[in-house]
Amino acid sequence: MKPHSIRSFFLLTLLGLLLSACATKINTIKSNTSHRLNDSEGYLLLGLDANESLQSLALTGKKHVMFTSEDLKYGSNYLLAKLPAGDYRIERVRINKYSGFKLLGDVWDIEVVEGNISYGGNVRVNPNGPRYPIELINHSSGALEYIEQYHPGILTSHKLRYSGQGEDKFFKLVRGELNK
Amino acid sequence: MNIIKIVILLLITVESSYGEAIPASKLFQAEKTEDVKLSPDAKYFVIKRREVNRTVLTLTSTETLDEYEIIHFPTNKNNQLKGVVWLDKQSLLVRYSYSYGFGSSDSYSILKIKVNEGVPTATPKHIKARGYVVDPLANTENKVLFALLTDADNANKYSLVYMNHDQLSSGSSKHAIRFSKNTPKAAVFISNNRGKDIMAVKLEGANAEIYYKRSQFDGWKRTGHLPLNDNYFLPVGFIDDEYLAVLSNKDSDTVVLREFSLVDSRLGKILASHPSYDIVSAETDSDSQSVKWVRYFERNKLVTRYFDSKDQKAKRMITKALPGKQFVFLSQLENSQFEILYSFSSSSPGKYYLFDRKNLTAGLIGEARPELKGYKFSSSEVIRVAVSDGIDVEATITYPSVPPNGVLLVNPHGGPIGVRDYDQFQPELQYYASRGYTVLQVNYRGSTGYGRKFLDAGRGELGKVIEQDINKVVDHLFKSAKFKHVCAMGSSYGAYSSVMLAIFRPQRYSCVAASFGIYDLPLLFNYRNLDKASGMIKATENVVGKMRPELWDLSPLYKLEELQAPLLIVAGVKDPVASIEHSNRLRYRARQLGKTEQSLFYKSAGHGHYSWFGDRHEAVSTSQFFERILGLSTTWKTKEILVEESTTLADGFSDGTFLPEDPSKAIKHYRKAANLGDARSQFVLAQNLERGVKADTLLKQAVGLYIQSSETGYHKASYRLGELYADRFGLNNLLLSYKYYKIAWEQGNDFAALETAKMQCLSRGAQRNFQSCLKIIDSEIKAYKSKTKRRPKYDRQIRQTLASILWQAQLSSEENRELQTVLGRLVKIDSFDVSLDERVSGAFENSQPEYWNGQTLEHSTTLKLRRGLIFGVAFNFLSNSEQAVKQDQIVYNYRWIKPGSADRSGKDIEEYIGISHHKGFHKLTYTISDNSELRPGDWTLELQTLDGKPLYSKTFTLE
Repeated sequence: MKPHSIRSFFLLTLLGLLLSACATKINTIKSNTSHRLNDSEGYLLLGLDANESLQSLALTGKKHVMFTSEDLKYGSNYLLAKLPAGDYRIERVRINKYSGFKLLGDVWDIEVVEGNISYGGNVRVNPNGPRYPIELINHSSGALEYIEQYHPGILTSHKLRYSGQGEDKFFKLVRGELNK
Repeated sequence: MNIIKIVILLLITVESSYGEAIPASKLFQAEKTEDVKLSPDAKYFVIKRREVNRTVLTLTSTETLDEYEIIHFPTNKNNQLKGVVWLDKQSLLVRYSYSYGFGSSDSYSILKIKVNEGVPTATPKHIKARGYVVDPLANTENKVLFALLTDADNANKYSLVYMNHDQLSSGSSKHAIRFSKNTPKAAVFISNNRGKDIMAVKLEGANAEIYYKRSQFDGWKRTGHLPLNDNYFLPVGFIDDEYLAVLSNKDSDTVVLREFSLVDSRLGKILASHPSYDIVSAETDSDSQSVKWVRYFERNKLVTRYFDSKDQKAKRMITKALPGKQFVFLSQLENSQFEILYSFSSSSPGKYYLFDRKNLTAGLIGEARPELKGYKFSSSEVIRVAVSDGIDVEATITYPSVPPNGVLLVNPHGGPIGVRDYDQFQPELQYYASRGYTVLQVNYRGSTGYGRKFLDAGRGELGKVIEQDINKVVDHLFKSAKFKHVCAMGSSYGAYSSVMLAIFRPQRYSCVAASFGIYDLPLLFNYRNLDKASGMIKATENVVGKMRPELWDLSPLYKLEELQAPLLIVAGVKDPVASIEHSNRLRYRARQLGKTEQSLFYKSAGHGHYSWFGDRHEAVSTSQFFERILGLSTTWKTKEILVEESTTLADGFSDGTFLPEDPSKAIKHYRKAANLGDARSQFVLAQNLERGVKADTLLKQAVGLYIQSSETGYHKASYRLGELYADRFGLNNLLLSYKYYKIAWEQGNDFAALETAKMQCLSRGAQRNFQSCLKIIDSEIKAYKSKTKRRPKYDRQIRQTLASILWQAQLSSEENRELQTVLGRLVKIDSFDVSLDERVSGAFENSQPEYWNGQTLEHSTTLKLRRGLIFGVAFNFLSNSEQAVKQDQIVYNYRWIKPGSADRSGKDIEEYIGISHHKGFHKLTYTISDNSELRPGDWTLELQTLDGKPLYSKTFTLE
């Protein structure tokens, strides 16, 4: 049984079309070249573990934005993007043109902090799996290893912080910031 | 006074006096004998036995002890025989599971047993009815009491009905008889007293309501609501019309057996208890309104306290005959002469006996682990140690069965709440004890079986009281024993505890092996965003306590700077309990701090291994880790142990199934084993040399290793030499090819038998001997048909051999007829006098011989060469016999000749026996399936009759 924070939808509603039309497509950062942040901007880092390719992943908040199918391939990968700093919520995951999930509640909230790389978690999508069809999983160590390997330059000048549910001190630990 | 004697037949196994390291492959495998169950009339008992490639159910007569196989299941990771129960004296219910993708499901069948001249056979019938058997009503034939699933989305999802076996098989409940009027739908039904007394437990939110019914003529009665709070409450059986016997710890520290009033839902007097231990199970008899027995664990051993004097006497006798062993009766039938007795201990894998109550004899009928006969095992000693004022803990010490190596392994159990160690055979314990280690296991505060106070004393005490208890026991041990080194080794919570022990006492612990563990306690609260909604957080709080700042200080991850001991981290990538994130963080941090660390992240493991190979690999890796870190002597290792360790480690790295593929590590270990004379390792190393994988591509070296392996008896190596020498890879020595095929055949390789026969028929590398060739093939066909050789694709191999002979050999008419007779034993031949019409040729969308939707992708004989290209010809076949009918099977020969085969023989030809039907449609196609087949040029399809008359030829040019 799905919790109340996940709702399936199976019809392409007019509202859904309109919402999609309002969302700005996110261009993910793929190379280690410099991507300077503007004022009041931060990086959002999300992991994706999906057992099928997705059509879109939409976030509401400071800005209504959307990752699109070219970034949402089947398997495991990471999504790094620049966004205006502020609160966001993963609002909708579309599997294909006709079906997807609407996500409700603050369990899907992520904060993008100015000047930082905000890791929101790994979005795990498995609609036919034994657990929930969508979850946000804390795989901080994997995110850190990804950034170190593929975007070391960004990591040098911006702190990686945990921005998902609850408090996690792992990134601070590895930076040596925890008090003795 | 009568002196009652017991004659125990074969009860005492003669144990070997030597101790030696027990190979991991012997220890870490499934039990060979399980599910020994007596039939309701005690005339037979069924046993589930595991063999090399299959699981077998056998039936044995209690009178003659003749054992018969009644059904078998192939050993298959996707399908497993799980269990068996008697439905009545002629029927068994078999449960098996099958896996699919990410899940698995249980399925059931009824086995009907027929006995003909003393020999039983069984016919299976699959059950489609969904639910479970509440009571088999074993004394009533063809009728069971069944909880039928009627509403899967409801907590109270079952209805109680009587069903016969046909109804169970068909799944049709239309004529199933309702158990009685007003039977409630329930979450679970429990039967007592052979189906006469029934309890139904209904769930209403957080409460449970018990309905009960005694005998078929009373109505249903119900108790009041029972709150499902922290008290333990388990109904056992009826005592009389007013009282149930239940196990509960409400109003007591330990779980006791007491009365429960069905009238006012109150707990009554205590029927049985132990001052220090929880009662874990019990049985009552409502006919005599008494308790038959209760069970508890005392000093880790299972104790059954009987209340009937006859049972007490039997227990005394068995205890005397089996000193130091624990035992249980598995089948307890009313007034039966026979019982199944199961005995076990920490130093004895289980044994099954047929106990004769009348003659007071017991005969051995099965051993759980017969392959371990001859090995000396270590017994465990239990001690009690005061850890705090008024609090003792029990601990088990297992001393080595070989000269000690001076290492104490402290092995905390998992949990930590509600789990414990027992005095029973543990493969892991025996693995280390047989290698010189002393192993300590502590039932620290939080362990189950010692009462509620003791259990609750561990809640929220991770990294505190629990590790204090363990260290107190180690302190105690040190007063009487000396160890050169102490290491901590544990799994799940035991992994956490092991790392924390070493952090707390860096002077004491020299190394740590931590498997499938949690290392970041706050991560338990923020791993999944939906855990709060699912109730997981509450369950975590029940063990760890609420999320609080202290948890960071109690997490090994955040205290790793203080760890001095080298660390082995083992994890399962698919672990749903202790997620891989814990181990990945620990590994990251250990490397960051420059700690001596080794990690093994098993790709196909969860919270533990799903295959025995994983357990073996982990045991070998861990013991080698200890040896390396502590500088332990390894001169005691026999060649068998050395080979096993090397091949196990090599296999783990060889193909990426268990661990990330690492060819150089794999080859390193295979080379060690190959140098010790292991034939399989020599073969694998030779294969790698041939392929040039991380090694020089030196065919000569590869051949040298194949020869070594062949000489040691490895048939695959001999077969490969046969192939290599048969002009396929440039060695071109048919005499040697024939020699090695013959050797491979003698070593048990069936494919080599066919190659030997073919070479005799074709006089290649051997003198022509048609009769010998035919005899071999005929024998292989007989073996295949009689199911002694049912290897997949073997019939295809036989047919290809015959096809090659028909195409290539110069056969006389008589020889051709004889060959056809032999072929006729494998394939029905109604006609070989064939004619055909070509329908269409070119490229097709699929290779299915009898499917064609009328579309040909390309209608041409000149095609573009590409991977995945399927090309060929579609025919209509006709038998030339006047009496031919549509079902007649017509047989012919065909072959594909690839580019470069000027003489139309050798490796570039593929020959087949073709089968079609009279007036049948058939496509003969070739698929370019991999890069090695991307050969431009002429590809020719030829057909001939079995007696050599050409039928058809067409050439495709692929560019």
